[in-house]
Amino acid sequence: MDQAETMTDNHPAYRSKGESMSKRTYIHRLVRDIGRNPYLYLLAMPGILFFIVFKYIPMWGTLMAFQDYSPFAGMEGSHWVGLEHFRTFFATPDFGMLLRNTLAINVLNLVFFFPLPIALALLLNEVRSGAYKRLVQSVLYLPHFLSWVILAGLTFTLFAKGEGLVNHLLEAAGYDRIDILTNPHSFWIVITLQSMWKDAGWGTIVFLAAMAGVDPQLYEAAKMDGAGRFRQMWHVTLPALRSVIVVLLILRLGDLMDVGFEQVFLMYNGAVSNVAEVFDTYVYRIGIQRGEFSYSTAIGLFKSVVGLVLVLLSNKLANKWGNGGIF
Amino acid sequence: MRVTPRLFFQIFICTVLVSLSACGRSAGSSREESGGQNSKGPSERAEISIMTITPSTPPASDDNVIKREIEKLTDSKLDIQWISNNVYDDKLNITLVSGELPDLTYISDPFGPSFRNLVKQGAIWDITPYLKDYPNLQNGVPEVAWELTKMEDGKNYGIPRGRDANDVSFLILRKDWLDKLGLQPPKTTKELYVALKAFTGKDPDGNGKADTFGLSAGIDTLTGTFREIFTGVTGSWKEEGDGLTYAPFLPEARESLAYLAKLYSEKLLPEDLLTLKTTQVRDYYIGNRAGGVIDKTGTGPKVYSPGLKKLVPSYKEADFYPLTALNGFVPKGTGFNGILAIPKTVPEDKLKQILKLVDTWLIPDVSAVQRFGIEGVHYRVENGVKIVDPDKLLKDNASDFNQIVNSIDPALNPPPANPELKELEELRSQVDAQRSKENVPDIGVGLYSPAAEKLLPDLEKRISDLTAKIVIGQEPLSAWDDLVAKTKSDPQFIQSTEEMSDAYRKRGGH
Amino acid sequence: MRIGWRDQAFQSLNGVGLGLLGMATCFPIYYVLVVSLADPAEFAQKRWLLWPEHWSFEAYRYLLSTDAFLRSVGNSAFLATVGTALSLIVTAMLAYPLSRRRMRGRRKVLLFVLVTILFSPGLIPAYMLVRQLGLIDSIWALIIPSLSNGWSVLLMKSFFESIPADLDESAAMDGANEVRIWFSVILPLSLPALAAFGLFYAVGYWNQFFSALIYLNDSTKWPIQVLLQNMLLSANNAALDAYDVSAAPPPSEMLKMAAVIVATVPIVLVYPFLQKHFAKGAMVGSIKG
Repeated sequence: MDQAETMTDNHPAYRSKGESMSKRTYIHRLVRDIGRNPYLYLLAMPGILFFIVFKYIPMWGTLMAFQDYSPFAGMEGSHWVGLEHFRTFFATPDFGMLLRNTLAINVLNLVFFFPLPIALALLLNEVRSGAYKRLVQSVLYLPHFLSWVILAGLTFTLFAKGEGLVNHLLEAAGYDRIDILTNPHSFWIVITLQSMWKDAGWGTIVFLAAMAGVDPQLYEAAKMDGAGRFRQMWHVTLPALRSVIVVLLILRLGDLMDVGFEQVFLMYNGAVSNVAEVFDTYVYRIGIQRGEFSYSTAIGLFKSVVGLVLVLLSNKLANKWGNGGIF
Repeated sequence: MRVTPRLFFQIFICTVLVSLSACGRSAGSSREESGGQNSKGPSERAEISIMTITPSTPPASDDNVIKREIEKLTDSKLDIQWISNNVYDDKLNITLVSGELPDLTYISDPFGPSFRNLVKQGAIWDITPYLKDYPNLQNGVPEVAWELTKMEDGKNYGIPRGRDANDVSFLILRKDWLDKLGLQPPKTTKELYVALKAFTGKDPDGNGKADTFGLSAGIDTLTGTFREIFTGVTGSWKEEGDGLTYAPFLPEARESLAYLAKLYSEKLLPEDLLTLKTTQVRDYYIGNRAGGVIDKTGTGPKVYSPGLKKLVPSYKEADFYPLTALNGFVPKGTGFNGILAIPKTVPEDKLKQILKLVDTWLIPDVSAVQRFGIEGVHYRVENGVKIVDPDKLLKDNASDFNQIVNSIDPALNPPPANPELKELEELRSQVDAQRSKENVPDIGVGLYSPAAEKLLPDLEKRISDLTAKIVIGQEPLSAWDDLVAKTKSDPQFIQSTEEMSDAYRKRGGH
Repeated sequence: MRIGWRDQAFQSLNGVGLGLLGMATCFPIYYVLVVSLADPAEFAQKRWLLWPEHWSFEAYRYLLSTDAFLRSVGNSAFLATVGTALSLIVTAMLAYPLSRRRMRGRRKVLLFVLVTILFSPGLIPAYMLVRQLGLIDSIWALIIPSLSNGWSVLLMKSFFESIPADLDESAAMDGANEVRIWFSVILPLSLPALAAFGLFYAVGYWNQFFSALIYLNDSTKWPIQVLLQNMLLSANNAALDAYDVSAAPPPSEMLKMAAVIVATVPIVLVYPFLQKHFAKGAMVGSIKG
């Protein structure tokens, strides 16, 4: 992607000269530029203010992870406890459970959900009739517009053991009812299937757009060489998607510690608690429901830091393998 | 027309201004109005902010007639934040983050860790020394409630919201089905099993289809109620020897699990047990499918019968038949439902104003406002009896004010509107009278152990998860034995039990 | 022509397969629709059906007669329109200068913005901020804190970069100021991208659930998703209790299904309107997911 270069700061103005010198001239130039072109900077102001207020100021609040925060003493008056909350967290058996659940759901996601839009896009690309293709596309996009609340509701409507449609059908056909939603063995699968249903179709958009950008002459050339549909797909279409796939993969890896909070939160029930609890739901349960503010903030902070490391790491790997990362 | 950037900016700025002012208005509207109100009332009217729950959508507005009347009678200005009851606890905890509590805040669990923390930090007023000056307040709340809400230091850090101590959630069966099947109301869990089995297998609704079952209840209510029935212990702690034992680990509690697992496997309970929502639990009864629920007697006419009567015209109010006791266990309420706490950020003068408010509110003439409404508007008097218009009361959110101050004076109960309701009312008072004679109090309430405070939330969650799985047959009973054995040898658990026993002995038993 | 024959077979198979997949995808929605339109008495008796013998709008009539439901749809509509408009304005205003080389320090600003993607403060600090700003229990708490985000800025910036700088620089030569250029040169060229971003924002605002749960107390301010969660999933006392029970509503299952349909239709309807711009802008936007 183009951003790869723009991000690294190799503008001559920032390099070469001595630090203090360049800083002074830089500010000088900046002031001059603002004077010359005030509206450009004015345009950016609301956005910059927004990021300062809503993304940076709350970062101070994160410091309570190192405190025994008491609401009445406030941040200033609370005791500092250093890394105690982190130590406590790593020592609880819950830590291992959270890590396992989070990783398991994400790995399933990566293996089953991630390739699906690619495959779907390849198949859609082969449909000749434009109208039919658009119809199928629109239908496959539809679930993306549903909220997780609705999705969870649908899942219960279809699969609940007593009143779910699937079980009514099974019973009508003379089979035993099956327990899907309160079964720890199927919880991860349910979560993965939900993601697949909701976003596999939607995910094809980016791949279809990338395919549309493939030079038709490449296909012609492949045909000349006697390549059939499959070989064209394999040798022409797929390589064109490579950079998009890599970028998405990096993003995905960076999210390895994240599981859609709302999704899991809404599907949670007592029978699946020890496979369903992930970092974000745990932070909610401990922080909001039990009121251990500092402890839960510490857990959230731990998750964020690991996520940050993962993004940087996978980006580095992508760069190393010559595919160009996103930064 | 061309939209120039200047015009665009004007529009943009207008939008921002309008939205800001709209934003300001919604936040400040109550204040403006209160200013207007203030000018006509005496200047020292107490302005008190309150945070509590409401089951109603929409909640009572700021100029609600009932609220106005109560303000007039108590000479106060109330700023009430109504919060939907199903999110209240999370909301309260998150409000605590900022350390700014309203003057009078509803606390659903006065022994929960977050509230206990506040008390420990000295953030909450101890109202014990002031109570003697407010006789209505002291006598208007059941004695048992004052007792049970005392912290470990023997002080009251809030005003209990009084409730009828006998009106508790317990098993309720359909009397018409029992009659039809020729069964007596069960007195033991064995008889209950027979009844539930018959409800499931003997086609009590007579439609020729096997579409009925025994008992509809959510998993937590179900396991909790049956544990109490089997152990005979209300709450989590049982007196044994000169100390306390953790009731969920008693062998009888294990029996209750085996019993429920049997009910479930024989389909006497709803299949969706673990994922049932409250409405679904009720729908089974309303939909003529379940023969019983676990609920309060008073909910019959409000929640269940209107729908069920449409399906089964012969159904009577008194067919909502409460079981007085099972296996000799009589359930016992605590006489309160949460407390109202006053934060230390309130000065002492204002504290007195607040207590005065509640004290005045508990005078029958004032409490009557939220029960009967206003004469000519919500009720009329015929032959000395107040005839209320329930729809009008409902529309004005009258009963929501019970979520702030609730008088349990029986004189305030409106008389039953028809013979059927009268029959139910008689049944209820009969059951209540029986229950008040021989119930078991919860001895654990108010006892404090630092170790237990740390251990219990987690342990309770483990127990609740595992019991759920055992009931639906996902885990064998041996998993329960493992948990019990493992926990019993946990030093933290042992310490918790010892500390609780010490606290119990210190209090001098009951 | 062996290859041709195989291609033909693949074509038809592919078409049929995708068609089946589409139908399978639609099935849950179909079921919801059918249940919501069934005759209440019939559904109460059968408890499930794939095709009702009698149709009825009873569930919709009941639902749309309740204030709570209509109010929450209104709240969500407000969120989705005002929120989307403000989000687009703020994001485009920031992204445009960042895409122009003549803005000094743009890389620093971009980095400053991107850091927020990688590191987000937790739930509780965010709540404390919203509280300090006095936004608790205001619908603006659902808009203002989510006006923009690092991804949108980054992606919109790369879109603006695809518009040649010559255009605005020559306009600048003619003496137009940057705000005018942004508004009358850049934005008209950006309609496809704005449509795509608008759709993302609108879906996001319409489907917002958790922040509403946290920031709003007053149930009259609830957006539709919170009400739905109460109806569909709450294990506690449900919002349905607030409805007038004596009117003997249709089975709650039918009400839920009708509510799902009503909550889905508006946002799905937005899509075709934006679709024609959308295809071009989609590539930029969909990476965000």
